[in-house]
Amino acid sequence: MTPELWKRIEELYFDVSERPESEWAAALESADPLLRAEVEKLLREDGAAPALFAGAVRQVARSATASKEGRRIGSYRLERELGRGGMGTVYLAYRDDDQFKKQVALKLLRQGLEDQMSLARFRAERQFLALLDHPGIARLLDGGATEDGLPYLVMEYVDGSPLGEYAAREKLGTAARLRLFLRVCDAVQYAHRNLIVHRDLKPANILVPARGEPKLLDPSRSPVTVVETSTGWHMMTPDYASPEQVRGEPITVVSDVYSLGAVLYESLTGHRPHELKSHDPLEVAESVCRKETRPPSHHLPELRGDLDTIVLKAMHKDPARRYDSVDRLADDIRRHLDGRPVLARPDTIAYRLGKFVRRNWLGVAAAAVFVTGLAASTAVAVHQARVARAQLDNVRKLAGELLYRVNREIVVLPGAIPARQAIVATSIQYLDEAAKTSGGDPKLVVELAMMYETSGNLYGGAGTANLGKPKEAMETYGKAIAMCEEFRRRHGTDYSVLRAHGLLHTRRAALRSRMGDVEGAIAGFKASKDLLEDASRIGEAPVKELHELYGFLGAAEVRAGRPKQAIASFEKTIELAKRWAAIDRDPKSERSVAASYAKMGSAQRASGGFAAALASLDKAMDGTRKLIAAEPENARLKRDLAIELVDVGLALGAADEPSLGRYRDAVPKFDEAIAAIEAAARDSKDARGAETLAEFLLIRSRTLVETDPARAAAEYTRAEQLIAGLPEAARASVFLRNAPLDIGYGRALLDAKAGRPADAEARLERLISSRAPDGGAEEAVARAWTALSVLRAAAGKSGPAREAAGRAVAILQPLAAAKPESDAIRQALERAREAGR
Amino acid sequence: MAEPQDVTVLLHKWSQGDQEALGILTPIVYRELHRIASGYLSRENASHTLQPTALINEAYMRLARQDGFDWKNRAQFYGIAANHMRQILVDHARRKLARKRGSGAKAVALDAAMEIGSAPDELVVALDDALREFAAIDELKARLIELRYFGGLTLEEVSDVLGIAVNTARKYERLAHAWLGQYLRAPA
Repeated sequence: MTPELWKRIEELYFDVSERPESEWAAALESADPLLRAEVEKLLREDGAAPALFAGAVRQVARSATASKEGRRIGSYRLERELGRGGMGTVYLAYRDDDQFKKQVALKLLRQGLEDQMSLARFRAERQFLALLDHPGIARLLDGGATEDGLPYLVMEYVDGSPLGEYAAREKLGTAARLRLFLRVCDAVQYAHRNLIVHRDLKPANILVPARGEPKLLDPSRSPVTVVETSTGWHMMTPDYASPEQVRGEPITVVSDVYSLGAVLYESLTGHRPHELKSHDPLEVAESVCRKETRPPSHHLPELRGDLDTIVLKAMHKDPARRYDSVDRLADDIRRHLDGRPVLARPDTIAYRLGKFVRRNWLGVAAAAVFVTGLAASTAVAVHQARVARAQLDNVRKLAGELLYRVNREIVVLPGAIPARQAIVATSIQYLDEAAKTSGGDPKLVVELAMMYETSGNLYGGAGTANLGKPKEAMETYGKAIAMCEEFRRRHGTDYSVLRAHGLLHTRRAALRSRMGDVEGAIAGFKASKDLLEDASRIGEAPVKELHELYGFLGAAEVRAGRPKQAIASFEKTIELAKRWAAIDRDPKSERSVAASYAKMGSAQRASGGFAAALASLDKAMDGTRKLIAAEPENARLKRDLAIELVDVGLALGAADEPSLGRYRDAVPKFDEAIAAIEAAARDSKDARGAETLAEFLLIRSRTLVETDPARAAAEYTRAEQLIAGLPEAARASVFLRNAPLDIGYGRALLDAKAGRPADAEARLERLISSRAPDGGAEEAVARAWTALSVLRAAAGKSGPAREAAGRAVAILQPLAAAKPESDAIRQALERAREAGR
Repeated sequence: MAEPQDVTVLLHKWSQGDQEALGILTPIVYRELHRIASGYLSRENASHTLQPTALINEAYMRLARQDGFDWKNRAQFYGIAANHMRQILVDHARRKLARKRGSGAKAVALDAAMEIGSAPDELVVALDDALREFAAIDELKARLIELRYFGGLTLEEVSDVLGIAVNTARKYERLAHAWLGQYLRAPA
C-alpha cells in the first residue's frame, strides 16, 4: 500500500465512521470499490486489540525488569534464567573474572522474601548443600550475598536432558534404564544418610549429561518446601508426589521412595503413572491417594513380573508397605538385573490377608490352624511377624520423626546445629526403646544398628560433617556394638549382623584414632577385621567395609609412627578398593583407589622409601587426574592433586627432612601444586584453601633456599603477606601459629648463605625466645637450635654451640623414642648430635 | 552527565525547532533510562514492579528541574523515552522468543496470540513489526501508538507531543487501532 492510497482510505474511513452506523452502507455505496473493501475491513475491527497490546506491553515490561540477565552478582555474570522454584530463581551464570568462562547455576533468593525467616531457610539450605558431596548430586560451589544482602547459592551447572528424554534418545533398553536409575538411587540414598529428604524427585530434577552419569538437582529443596507446603499442596509435582504429600502429611524417606517409583515407572514405560489430565486437587487426590496404579506392564507387557512388583511396591499408597529405604529398592533392582529372585512380593492376596490379619488376628490364626493344619507354628509365626512389624513400624516412625523434624526445625532456626542435636537425641531414645525388644530378628537388629551408626556419625563421626560431640558419638556406637554382641551371644552368627557389627567397630576406632587414642583405635580396627572376616567366611566378602577399615587402620599406624605396618595396610586397602571398583562402578571407589595410593606414598616417604613413594604417588596422580577430567568442577579433587604433588616434591627434595635431595626437580612439582591449589581455592571460598596455599608456599620456599635464594626471599615475603591477610580465627590453627618460626628459620639460612652469619644467629635467637610456649612445633624449634649451634661453632663460640645442640637433642630425644620409625626425627637428632661435637 | 537544567534548556530549544538540541538530548535520556532501569534491576522488589510510565517518569524527574516544570517539555521528553522503551522491551521479548524456539522469533497472527492468551512476548513483537509497516504509510499515527503504549502517555500528552488537537489524536488512534487489528488478523 502506498501512503497516497492510505490517505484516501483514511479520508473515506473518517467520513463514514463519523456517521451513525445505519448510514454506513449508503455512504460506502458511492465510493471507489477499491477503497470500499479496505474501509469495510477497518470498520469491522472491534477494538479488541488496544487492551491486548496494553496488557502485553505491561507484562513484557514486568518480565524485562524481573529478569536479571546480564547482571553481575558477586564475581558471576548472569546469562539467562534456567527456572524458578519456591524460594528463588536459578540462572545460568559464569565467573566474570575467569578466563575459562566456567558455567555455573546461580540461585538467587526471590525478591520480596528477604525477611528473616526466608533468609534463615536459605542459609539452612546452603548449610545442607555444603554437607553433600556426591558425584550424583549437583555440587555447591560458592555462596554469598548481593550488595543488597540477598543471599545466593552457586551450584554446579548440569547441562543434560531429563532422565526419560535421555533414555528415549539413546534408545536404552530396559536393563540400561534400570542401571541408570540405580545411579539415581545411590544419590538419593546418600542424601537420606545425611538426613535430607529430596521431596521433589521427578525426571526434570534428574539430568543426564552427555557423559551419562545422572545428577540430582537441588536435593535440599526439602527444608524450604516442607514449610511452604503446609500452606498449600501446589508446591509439589502431583505426578510424582506421594499420597502423604498430597494429603499434607509428614514427609519421610519413604516419600522419596514413592517418587523414585514414579520416576522409574515413567522411565520404563514412557508414561506417567497416573496420567493426570489436570492438576485439579480433587482429581489429584483421587488418582494419587485412591485409584489403583496401573502396573507398568499395562503399557509394556514385557515388564510383567518382577518389574511390575518392584515399581508397585515402591509406589504403594500405604507408606508402611513400600520399600523402607532407597537401598532396599535398589537392592531389588540389582537382584532383578542379576537374575536373582526379588524380595518384593506382589500385593494382592498376601497384602489383603495381611490387612485382615492385623484386624482380626486371633480369628485368622484359628482359621489358619484349620486350613493349613500347621496349628501352633502358624499361629506363632503370625504372632511373631506381628510383633516384628510393630517394631519396624516404630523404627520407621523414628526415621520419619528424625527426618521430618530435621526439615521442620532446621528452617526456623538460624543455625542448623541445635535442631540436628535435638533430632539425634530423639532418634537415640527411640532406638534404645526398639533395641530392648529387637529379639532374634537379624533384619531388625541390622536396621537399628545402622540407625545408631547414622546417629553416631552425626554426633562426631570421623571424616564426616558432624556436631562435634565425640563423646556422645562413642557412646552411640557402643550401644549398637553391645546390641550386636547380644544378638551373637543369643542367636549365633548372622551374615548381615556381622557386617554391621564390624562396620560399627571401624567407626568407633576411627573416632578414637582422631581423638588421639591411637593404640585403642588399632585394637578396635583389629576387632572389626575379625568380624568382617567371619562374615566373609559365610557370605560374600564385605569389600567396601574392609576397604574402609584398612584405610583407617593405615592412617592410625602412620600416626602411631609405624609406617611399615601402614604400608601393608594401605596395600590391602588398594587391593580392596580395586575389587570394590570392579563390583560397583561407582566413581567413589575410583577416588578411593587414588586416595589410597596417595596415603601409601606418604607412608613410604616417611619410612625412607622414596622410589616406592614416587611410584605410588604417580599412580595416585594418574587416578586423580582422570577424576578431574571427568569432573572439572570438583575443587576437592584439585586439592587432592595438589597435596599429591607436594608429596612428590617432598620426596624429591625436602630440605629439612629425608629426601632424595633433588631440589631442582622438586621445585617444578611445588610450582604445579601451588597452581593447582590456587585453582581449587578460586572455586571454593574455603578459608582452608588459603591456609593450604600458605603451607605450600613455605614448603617451596624452604627448598628454594637451597636452589634460588633470591626467589626464596621474595616467596617468604609473599607468604607473610598472605598469612597477614587471613581472618584472625583462621590464623589460630597450629600450622599458621608456627609459620613465623618456619619463615624466620628460612630467612636465617638465607642470611647465613649470603655471608651474614651474625644476622642469622641473631634472628634464630629472637625466633626461639619469641616462640609461644604452647608447643606444637618442637621439631621446628629443635631445627632452629641445631642451626644456631652450627653458626655459633663456625664463629668459634664452642661453649654456646654445644649448649644449643644440647637443647636440640633434649627436644628430639623423647620424640624419637615415641616414634622409633620416623626417619625425619632420627635424622634431625643425628644432625643435632653432630653439631654438638 | 548533563545537569538537570541543561535538559530543560535542551527540551526548550528542541520545542523551538532546534534539531541539534534533540541530538544532544537523546543520548542523555537514554543513559538516564538505562541507569534507572538497572537500579530497578538490582533492588527489584515485588511491590516495585516496573511500568514503562513509571520508569520514564522517574527519569524525567531526575533530569528535568522540577521547579522549571513545563508540561510541553515533559511530553516531549516522554516522546524520546517512548521510542527507547520500545527498543528495550521488544529486544527483551525477541530474545525470550528466540530462546524458546531456538531461532529468530516470527510474528504471530493476532488470533493465535489471543487464543494463547498468555503470549505477551509474541504480541509485543507483532506490535513492533506492525508499527514498522504502519510507519511506512503513516508515520504520525505509528508514532502516536508508540507514545501511547511504550511511553504510557495520555491522549492529551500525545496531542501535545505531536502538535495536534486532542480530538484529532483520539480519531487517529481509533483508525490506527483498526489498522493494527486488521493487519494482525490477516494471514501472514
